[in-house]
Amino acid sequence: MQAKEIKDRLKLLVREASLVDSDLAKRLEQINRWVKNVKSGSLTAKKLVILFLLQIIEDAEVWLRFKSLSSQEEQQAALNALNPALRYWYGDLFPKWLRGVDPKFYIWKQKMMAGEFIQEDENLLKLITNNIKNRGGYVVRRYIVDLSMTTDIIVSKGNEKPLCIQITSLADEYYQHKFDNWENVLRFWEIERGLFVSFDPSSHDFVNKIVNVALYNSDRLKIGTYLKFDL
Amino acid sequence: MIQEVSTDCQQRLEQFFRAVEAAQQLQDNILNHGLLAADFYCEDVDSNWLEVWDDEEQEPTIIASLTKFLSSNDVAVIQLRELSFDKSLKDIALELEKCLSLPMEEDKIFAVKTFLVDHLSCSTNNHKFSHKINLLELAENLVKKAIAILGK
Repeated sequence: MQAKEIKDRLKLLVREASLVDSDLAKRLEQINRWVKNVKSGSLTAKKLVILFLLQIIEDAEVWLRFKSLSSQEEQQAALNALNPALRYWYGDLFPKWLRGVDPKFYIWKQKMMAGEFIQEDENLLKLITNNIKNRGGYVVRRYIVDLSMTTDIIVSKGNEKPLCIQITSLADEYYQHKFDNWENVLRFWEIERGLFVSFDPSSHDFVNKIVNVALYNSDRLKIGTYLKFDL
Repeated sequence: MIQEVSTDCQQRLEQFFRAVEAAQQLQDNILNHGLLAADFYCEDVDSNWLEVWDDEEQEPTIIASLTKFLSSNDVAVIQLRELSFDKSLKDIALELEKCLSLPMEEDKIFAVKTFLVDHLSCSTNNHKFSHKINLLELAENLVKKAIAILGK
């Protein structure tokens, strides 16, 4: 695929969304304007923006296919067939993001375009995700969730309840700042519970420990609880 | 009929699940390969696509022209506004633009007429006016005037 085709797909989606869901159309137009207003970017920033655009395009496709289901019963049946983490994303958080005002949108898009936002913990998240999947759990990871909702991953153990989890190394220089904002951001998006796991990267077997805590709490954490867990 | 409805529903559900699968596949590729995943999907990431992103932006102008036309006091447009639709003016402009992209004038007119019929709401106003207005003629007038405005 050529990069130009990504732009064409985005424009077609805006057109289709205009007839189906004006919130989605507005968001996609907003993203298109953002990309349009930037005249250059490093190769790293370009790769990141391409992946972000592809991700929002794929999710917009899902949303339009979801909206094309003719009745609420049909839509509910479709959501029920998804695993809990995906059901939470498409049935709750993604529509919330489409409808709501995202106060972080103008901050993180600049960071992304400037190449400042590079997911340094990407390798760790890969290990954690694969570990969770190997244990029969499910993971949803999206740029929007990460940047706007301070959530690295949405996790569910089997068919149990999904949980928003933020994972931060104690060695991270922004550790305190991340933690200070975390609960407020979750509450802003009406995310009813959350887990903030901090770990010592020098400790033994910390990936397994993070996964244990995530899976243990995914179904057990009570509504209204925003748990900070130091490993 | 029941069979048709059920097949249709099944197809829509399958499209939904395929879309979810594609989104998750992208997520897994990003997780497993990081930024390199961009090269799997796009062969010219390092080209000047970003610099030329806003070139050849035609659609907003066309839609804006059509929306302006649909807000005007043109006779056909007044007739259109006398009827009540379950679509906004901008939605109608978007649909009109889609219909105008069809190759033959006849196709454009019938596509507009079909759209008008499909989205005519069941309001009292429509009962009052719809018997006076020939939707095919209205579609023909709208298409001809829109073509003249857009210079197509």
